[in-house]
Amino acid sequence: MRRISVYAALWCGVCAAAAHGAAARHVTAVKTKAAIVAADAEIPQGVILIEEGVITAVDAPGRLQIPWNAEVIDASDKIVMPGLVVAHTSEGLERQNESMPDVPWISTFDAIDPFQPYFRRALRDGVAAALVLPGNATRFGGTGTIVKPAGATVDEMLIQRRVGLKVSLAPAGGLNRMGHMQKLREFLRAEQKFLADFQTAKKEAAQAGRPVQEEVPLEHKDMEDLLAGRLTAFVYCQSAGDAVRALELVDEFKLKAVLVLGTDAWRAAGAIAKAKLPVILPPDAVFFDEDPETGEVVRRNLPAIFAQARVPFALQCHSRSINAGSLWQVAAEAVRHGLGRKEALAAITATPAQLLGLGQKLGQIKPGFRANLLFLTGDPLDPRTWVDRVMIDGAFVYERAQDKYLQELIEGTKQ
Amino acid sequence: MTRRAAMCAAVLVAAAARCGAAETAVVKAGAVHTVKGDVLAPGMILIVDGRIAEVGKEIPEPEGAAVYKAEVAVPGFIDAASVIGVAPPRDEESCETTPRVRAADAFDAAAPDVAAARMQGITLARIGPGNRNVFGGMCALVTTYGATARDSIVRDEAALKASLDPEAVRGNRSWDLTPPRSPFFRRPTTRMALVQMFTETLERAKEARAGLRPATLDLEAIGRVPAGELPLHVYTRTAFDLRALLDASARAGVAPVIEGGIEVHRELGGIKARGLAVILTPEAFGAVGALSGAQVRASLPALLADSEVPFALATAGFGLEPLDLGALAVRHGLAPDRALRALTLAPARILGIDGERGSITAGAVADIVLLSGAPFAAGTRVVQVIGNGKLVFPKGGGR
Repeated sequence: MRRISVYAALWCGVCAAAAHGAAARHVTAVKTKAAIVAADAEIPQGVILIEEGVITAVDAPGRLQIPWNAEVIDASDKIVMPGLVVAHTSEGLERQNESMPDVPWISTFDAIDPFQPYFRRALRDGVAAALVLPGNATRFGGTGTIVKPAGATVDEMLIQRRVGLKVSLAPAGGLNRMGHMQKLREFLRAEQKFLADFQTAKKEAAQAGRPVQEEVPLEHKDMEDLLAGRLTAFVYCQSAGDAVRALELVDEFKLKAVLVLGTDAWRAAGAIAKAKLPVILPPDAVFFDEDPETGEVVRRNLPAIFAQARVPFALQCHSRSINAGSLWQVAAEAVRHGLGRKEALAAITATPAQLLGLGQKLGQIKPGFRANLLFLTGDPLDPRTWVDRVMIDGAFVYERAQDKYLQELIEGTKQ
Repeated sequence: MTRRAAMCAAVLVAAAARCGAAETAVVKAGAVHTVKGDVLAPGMILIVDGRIAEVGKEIPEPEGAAVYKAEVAVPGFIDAASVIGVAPPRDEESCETTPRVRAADAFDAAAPDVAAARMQGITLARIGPGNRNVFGGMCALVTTYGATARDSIVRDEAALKASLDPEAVRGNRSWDLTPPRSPFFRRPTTRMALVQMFTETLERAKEARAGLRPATLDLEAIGRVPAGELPLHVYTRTAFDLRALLDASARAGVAPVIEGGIEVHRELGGIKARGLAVILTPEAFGAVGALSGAQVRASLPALLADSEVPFALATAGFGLEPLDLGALAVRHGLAPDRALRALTLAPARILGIDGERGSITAGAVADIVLLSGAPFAAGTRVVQVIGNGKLVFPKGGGR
């Protein structure tokens, strides 16, 4: 009799829990030491509420009621900031470029290798979203894919397919710049003509009552979207001259564009500012440069140059580089030599999110944004700071204590 | 004894300064990291005719002295494995043993990378040949602020450079292979021969010095190493190379300085037992995944410090500045004061110039870097560089 009553009590408990689960959604509350909610806003001891992987509220502890049923994550010794966003990378691909120059119809989705060390390193450095685009050795290189650096398959990693189309102005395939530009223009004009002819044929067919082909053939779909401004062109400009030609191209074909700059392209900062186009800066964004005439050596700080020119910019890194291996490293270097802290933080969070078309989903801690959070041991721009945990869509996907590779890397020391 | 001599010299120059005949300058800093001694906060440095005359909390200012104010003053950084001023190629590829080739003869004081090094706070650099020759040539010590190569060179034959890196083998072909597939018709063509040539050449040099075999100029040059007249800096790339070096150098009775330092954590016991020093370059501990086939350990600097193996942090042309190198080491467990030592006094000791450089002490050459904040803290940068008592950055140096 007594045993039965125990079972009955347990059963009631299970039922109650199930009913409760159905009624209330799972709420997570994150207590922080400080929440860097945006590049220019920080809430000391800020509390963040998360439901179903989305941020629902963020505020100071006194102004926010933590619901009684919330799962509380006590990170009151950690600084929490938005997950970093990479606006352009060609790492993580099995091969960066197709061997043919004009392949706008291919997609990095088919070549992303989740087990490339790049993703492991990106996650360790706090990246929560990255746009993987083809490399710079083709003219029309294909479309990009936004992924999170966690997951065993591309489908698990996927945030969005067909984002951005890579266009490169760096001469490839033995051509010089004149030949390269001519081929670029010819390809764009040929596509324009094809699309115009297609529309005419469609109209004629409709008028004549013949069967109508509604959609353009697949291999023309990406160029159609590019020319209609539905796909953003990520235009690689190796030199300042390339940047100026890119501006002409954008103007002539009315493209929606982001310029991906090489180290030399900064000299076109004025022209880019006038055209009001955003840019993605190279990993070696702070470097020594010699004036060819006076021989004077100066330290160029590209982020500072573009901040002064009021050009929106995102930073880039290269995981195999020693001095520009992670976004925080590039940002900290730029700040050390004169860039403002706000501008630096924006260039690794909100600005790249905007360039990806996800400015209302990524790069800030705000109601409605994805719950992509970094838990840091200190200030994000301090070289002694570690990414302790990474949360993507409300779930922890990285914990430093479980990072075996990192433990091996710092073997023998107490961290 | 030397210390007493230095003190006397310091007192004499200090006296000269008070007389007003000498060129004087004063550094006033929120903190002076002397490295050999304590951190003085606040601290002052009196410079007379390019030398440090006095260091203290409060020093009477001589009239007419140039005054430099800073948050923090540290000794000028010493880069124990640098590539500045020597335009590539840096390997004399005609032969595998070229001990008389001198980096000093190729040094260009006006090269842009020398100016860049100066802006990073490097005041003295050990430059040398690359890693493709078994015995590659003579390393030189140069300052980064001389107007000409002649002004810059502190020591033109400071160390002999050798390599046990398989890079010395790569691409080589022996004469009888036809058709020729490479321009490098030279030995060694295997790793075995690389170790054999290293060991045998040292042995022959010893024999030549003892009069047991005819002395060629090359053997004479190499013979200075076992005789203890010339340090030997050997580049190694893996634990395998390190083991070969430990064995070969023990047999030859020489104590080499290990350059590169990749995988030294795997031979730490042997290195410590032999009392060898290590010049760590960024490829050994800096880049995750940049090195294939070898283990990168970010904690190497901390491990070496814990094991009490003397080590220096060097740039080796990887684009990391001394402050970045230190920050990287601190991030991975090294104490900041040890990191500062590894960029100043430790390389000075390894290069045998610690009496003159690598610390802020009376009698030393006045190579001083003024920082905007605590060394290796977030945002700390080089504000001014004083070389031989004069402001060399920002200003463009002695030119």
